[in-house]
Amino acid sequence: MNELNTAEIISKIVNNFLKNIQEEKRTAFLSELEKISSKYNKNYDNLSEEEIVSDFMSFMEELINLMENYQRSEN
Amino acid sequence: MINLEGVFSRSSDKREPQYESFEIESKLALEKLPLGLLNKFSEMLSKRIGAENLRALMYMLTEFLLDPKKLVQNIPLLETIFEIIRKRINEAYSKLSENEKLAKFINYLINLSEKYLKTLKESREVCSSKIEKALFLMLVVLFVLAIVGGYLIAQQLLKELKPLIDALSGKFLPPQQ
Repeated sequence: MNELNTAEIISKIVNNFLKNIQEEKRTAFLSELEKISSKYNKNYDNLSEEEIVSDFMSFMEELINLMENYQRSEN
Repeated sequence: MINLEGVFSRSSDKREPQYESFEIESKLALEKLPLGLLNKFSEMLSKRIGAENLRALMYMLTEFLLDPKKLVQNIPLLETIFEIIRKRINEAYSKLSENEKLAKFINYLINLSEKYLKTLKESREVCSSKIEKALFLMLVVLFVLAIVGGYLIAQQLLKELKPLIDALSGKFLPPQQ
């Protein structure tokens, strides 16, 4: 692999995060992640760049909130 | 256009990133992500800043992922990079203040940058566990990608509005005889 894209970078961080939470919580985390992601299943070819960046930021904020919640439950 | 490759290459040599050293269960989380959105976002960034610049940006993020200590060591450099981008965004904001929607969006980015810059400064002490480091890295990725994306859009809009601004300021008037 010569290059990484945004999705790969994010998936690696999420995977590293998953390794550090309890095994039984991982499935629940992934299921919640899938639920968040489903909100962004749009045809982005028809959206403006501003809308794409806006959706990207909303998704990242939701993902970070989810990670923060799991982090709190681990501590 | 800001040359990200030039900026980021100061923090690292030209070695190829050792992606293989990631312990990857990539597909596990990758399949759960909104790939349509993320790929479009990558494509958009690549188109805006050029494939080489995007590669440099990803290289920087990858280096930090491989070795979080580098992130802490490079805080002064990151602060400089973020400050440059924030300054440009502030400039764009002042010129486009009449465009309410864009102004709100840019303001949101500035607030985000302040929040994450603060996190960045505090991380020296608080990022003790692996789980905190992963969360913190995610914040950095969000910050860098969102701020670059937002800046580039603002820059493009400024470019598009420039003829109008020039016309309004009289630059398009024929020279006086």
